[in-house]
Amino acid sequence: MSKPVRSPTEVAQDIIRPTEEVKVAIDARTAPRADADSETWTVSEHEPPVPRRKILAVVSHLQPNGKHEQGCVFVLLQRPPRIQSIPDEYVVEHAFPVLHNFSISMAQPRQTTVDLSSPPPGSTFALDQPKTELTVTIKPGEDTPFSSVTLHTTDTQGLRLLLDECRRLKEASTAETDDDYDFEPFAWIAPYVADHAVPPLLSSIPPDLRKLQIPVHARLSPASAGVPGSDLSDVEAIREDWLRERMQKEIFAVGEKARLKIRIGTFNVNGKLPSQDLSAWVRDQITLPASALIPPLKEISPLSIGEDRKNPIEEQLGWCLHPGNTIPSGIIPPDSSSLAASSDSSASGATVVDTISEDTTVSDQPPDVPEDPSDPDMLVLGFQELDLSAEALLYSTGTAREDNWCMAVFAGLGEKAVLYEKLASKQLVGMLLVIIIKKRLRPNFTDVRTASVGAGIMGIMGNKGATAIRVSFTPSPSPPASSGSESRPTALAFVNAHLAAFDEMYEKRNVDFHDLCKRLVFDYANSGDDIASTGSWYTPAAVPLGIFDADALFWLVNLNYRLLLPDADVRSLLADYELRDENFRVLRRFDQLTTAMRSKKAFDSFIERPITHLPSYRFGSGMLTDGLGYDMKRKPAWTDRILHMTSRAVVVKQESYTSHPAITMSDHRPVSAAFELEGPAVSVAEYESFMQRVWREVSGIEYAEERPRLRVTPNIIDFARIGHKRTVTRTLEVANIGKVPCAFRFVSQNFAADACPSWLRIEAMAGLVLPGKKTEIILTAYVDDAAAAQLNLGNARLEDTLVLHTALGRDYFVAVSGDYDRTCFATSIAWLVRLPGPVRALQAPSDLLPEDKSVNAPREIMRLINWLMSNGTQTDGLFLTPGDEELVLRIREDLDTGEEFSLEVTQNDSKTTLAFADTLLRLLESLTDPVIPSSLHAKCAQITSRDEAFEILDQFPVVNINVWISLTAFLHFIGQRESYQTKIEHLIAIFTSVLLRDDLNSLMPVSITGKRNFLRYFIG
Amino acid sequence: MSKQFQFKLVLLGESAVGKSSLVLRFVKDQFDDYRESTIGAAFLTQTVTLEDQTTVKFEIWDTAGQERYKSLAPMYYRNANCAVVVYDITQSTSLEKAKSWIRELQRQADPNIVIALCGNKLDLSARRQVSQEEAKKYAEEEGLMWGETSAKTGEGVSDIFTSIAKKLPLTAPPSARGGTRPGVPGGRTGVDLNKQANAGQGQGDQCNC
Repeated sequence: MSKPVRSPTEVAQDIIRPTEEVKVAIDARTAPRADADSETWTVSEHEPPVPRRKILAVVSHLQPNGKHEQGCVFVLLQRPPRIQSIPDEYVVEHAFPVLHNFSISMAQPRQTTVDLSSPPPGSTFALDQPKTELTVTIKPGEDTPFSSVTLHTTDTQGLRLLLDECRRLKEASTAETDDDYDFEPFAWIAPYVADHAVPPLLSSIPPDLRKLQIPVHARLSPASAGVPGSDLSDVEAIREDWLRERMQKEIFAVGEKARLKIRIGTFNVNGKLPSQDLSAWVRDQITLPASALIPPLKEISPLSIGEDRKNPIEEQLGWCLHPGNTIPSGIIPPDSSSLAASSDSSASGATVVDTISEDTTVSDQPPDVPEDPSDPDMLVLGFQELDLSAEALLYSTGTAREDNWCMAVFAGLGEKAVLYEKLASKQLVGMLLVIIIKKRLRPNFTDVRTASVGAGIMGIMGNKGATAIRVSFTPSPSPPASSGSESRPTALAFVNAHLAAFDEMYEKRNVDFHDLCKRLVFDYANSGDDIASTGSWYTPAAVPLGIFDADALFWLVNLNYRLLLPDADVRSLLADYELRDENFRVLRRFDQLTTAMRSKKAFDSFIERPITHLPSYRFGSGMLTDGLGYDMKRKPAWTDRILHMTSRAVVVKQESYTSHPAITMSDHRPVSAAFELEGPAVSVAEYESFMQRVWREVSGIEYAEERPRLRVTPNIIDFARIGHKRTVTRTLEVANIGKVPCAFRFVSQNFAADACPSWLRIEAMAGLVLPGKKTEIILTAYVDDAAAAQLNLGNARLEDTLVLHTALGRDYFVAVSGDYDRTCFATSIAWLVRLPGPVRALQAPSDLLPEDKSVNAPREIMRLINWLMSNGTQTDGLFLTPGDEELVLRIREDLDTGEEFSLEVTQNDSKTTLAFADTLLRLLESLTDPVIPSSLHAKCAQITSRDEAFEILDQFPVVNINVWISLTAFLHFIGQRESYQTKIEHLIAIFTSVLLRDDLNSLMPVSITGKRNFLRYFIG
Repeated sequence: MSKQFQFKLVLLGESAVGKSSLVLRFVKDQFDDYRESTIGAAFLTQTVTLEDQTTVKFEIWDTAGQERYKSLAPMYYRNANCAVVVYDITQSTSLEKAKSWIRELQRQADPNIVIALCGNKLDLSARRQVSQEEAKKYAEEEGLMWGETSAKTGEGVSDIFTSIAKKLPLTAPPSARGGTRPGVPGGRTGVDLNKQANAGQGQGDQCNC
């Protein structure tokens, strides 16, 4: 299978940029004796090695002033072939500037016989040229760091042309004496030599995950119009992002995918030994056939476990814990009847859907245990408080407890246990992290590294802290066994942490998180694998790695974050099953971890699926407990959590997140989450080749003398009407009409401003365009509540100028404008009552009524309540059923313009009334301040009688009282209807979060139940 | 070794008076009859060598003249050492506009800024609307440098930049050479307003021969 051989000139032209020109190019080869090993490659085992093709080329460069020409002699070297689909590749081996002390000479040594049996590939010269082989020697000059090079060629004619060209360029270079010479001589050569540098994405260390979560424009240097910032480092960041994006689109998105099912669990065992079946926690029960639900070992007596060597589980499963062992031939999987049943089910279409590997080389796997598509490929379990003894803190207590728990886990896996083996574990005092994998995937996991850090007593002891494991997962190549196409590995990191306990240690936990992130380091020496023996040429980085140097990072932790609400609140919100959804929303808002993430104090950019299970802490046995079994002395909390963070290269789908209340042996309940990780199964060769090719297009931008040139069209963009929560998009076309790749970014007009007005979104804020190519930037005008609150107070005509800065080049201006349709949404009650008429008619803020002339209550709110009072009282589910989006928009438009409501209500038309109710709710939600001023919430929550409740109204601003009274009167009215008897609590819950909106910045939030009680005095 | 100085220069003036053409002539000695109007701000550099072998390197910001972008001009003339305010000798209104730019500079720019008033399109003197006397008188009153140029023929262009170079305070220490090396990014994270254009000009100062 031979590829078409390209001529030397074609090869050279492929390598150079548009700013240079190939003058002459000829085939050449190294003098036979020089360094034979690295200069040859083997086509097949049966043929002798042939020399790698070399090309000698003279390249010239005209300076941008059009006057000065400079030349350079390149020696191009063919890269070893890697995969068939890639055309032959060349790299610049040497680059010699043609300067005054440069010399090139030819000689005809003795007549040699050219060995015709092994011509170099692409030898167009071997037969039809004279067989005279000439020596060409290039001497770069004594004052250069380069040494001379000698090559052989048979292309006599070409060589003569080449020498002539060199002579001409040398003369040109010595003639240059102009003093207005303003160019760095031979700077244009640098990018070719820089090709040898590793492109940023070829490192085997994945980039820091945290960095990838931040959009590139947010990582650039501070800059504004007229103050370009640090263009060079910006180019680097934009280019790297661009490379990643291309890799994503052209390699990862289109190629094969490897899937890995990962089941993650965290369990604070409170020093207990396993005494119950763990199957609910360690295997996904829902999708299993019913017969397989019966675990082979239902219950284990705590008395029979421990140090007892004759433990029945150990007898059966001991071999699972020691991967080296083979199964004793006599052992038959424990429950053969259930095995047969699941075997049937898998025959009915449930084949192994794993695209990763169907490798059957693992010989010790019993062939007749069926795999289910839902079986996790990887089981990652974190235990805390494994051992609470004082001795455990001081010295290692051995692996007895680890073995106990692992056995219990394998027991929980039931008949599937034989499919699995332990890959790695890491323990620090009470914290144990265990990774269990499918045996057949063992060859796919390499470079296992572990780390642990104590953060407990004195900041170093291991009663608190973390243990972590990092593994490389290399999907098996497809088709299998195609050599030389090893897949690119995906790095997975897992952290099991246990942070400081108690409510008030919130800040300490945040600090500990950052401390652990810094101190958890995977040493190279720690790698459990003999890396050399894996035969991988994608060598694992021989450097210490942090936990964020991975493609996917999971934390399976007992973080001990608590709920900020008062104890009684938490219990009563949890206990009210009817209002479960609404109450969980409230509770999640006041979860300390959520608060820390929202304020970016800890776990910034991590993803956690919203919790729908009951708190996993703290349950008591033999203690005073509440109705749900929670210890009365400790506020229930979601202490046990599973979070993750990934790079763009992998997609993680979370399939479940739940706790397992049936496993009651500890004061915590175990928590589990199932993930499916989808990563690219691209071969290293293909990845590298693509990267090298793309890199060549953009490397050396910073060396280019030519300024980047863009054409930005149009430069005036009018969005016409812009309204609250209405989307208007326009496209900006950015074409590169210059000769060099151009990195661009939007900068602000001055340091104080943002690069983009609050009502506009720019996608993307930074980018890169290759010469002759163009890119589209999408401008979206969208006014959210925060922007509306701002715009409502200002001028209705919006005008701004975007400044598009090109790195190392000029700024382009794009004028953007639009007319803002004012809205009554996202304003305040105090502002609404000062409107002289409909909000849309307001010309300028100065037209507002003086405060003493303001109206009694906002017209807009009153219009809605009045309408509902006359048309909506007979409708069920007001405020509980969301309104039709389009109808809501029409109602809002009528409110803003002051027109009569255009919607007509017919008999039994609940759609319209529901839309009106929803509009009212949304209007109240959008107010910049809640109807009851935040400063009064605490007082309201403490009120214990209806009289007191009415008394405190006097402390509200008058207009707020009017709104409050009308609204609660209406709610009271509809609450009296029989069909609302069961829903009134739901209404109260919803309106409490709107009218007495929670202050999320407070670490001492006002009691939710107290606030609900207050509202109940009015509408209950 | 001769001394080298570096100064920031900004071009201001009404739209279509020939600011970009003037710069193109000065920097590349070229002229383009049909230039598109500048919608943005271009950054260029050019070096002038004086008789005493002192070199003055201008970092030039050529700004958009259109009224719509007027609010952005202060960002570009901020910290400028010199300004060339251009008018078109065939359009008397352009001189009025130039005067308003000068007033703005006197009010808001660096108090030591050297301002040159430049009447362009000298090749069209047959259609002259602004007399030399009028412009010169105004310049003298305001203490500005003044000259007439033709970007098309090149007449007067280098003169005006050379005169500015001579008038600039050449007592300041020469700017450091090789401040930011290409290929060594991140050398500067903050913004040094005195040398803000370094990164923007590629490999101007560095020498590795």
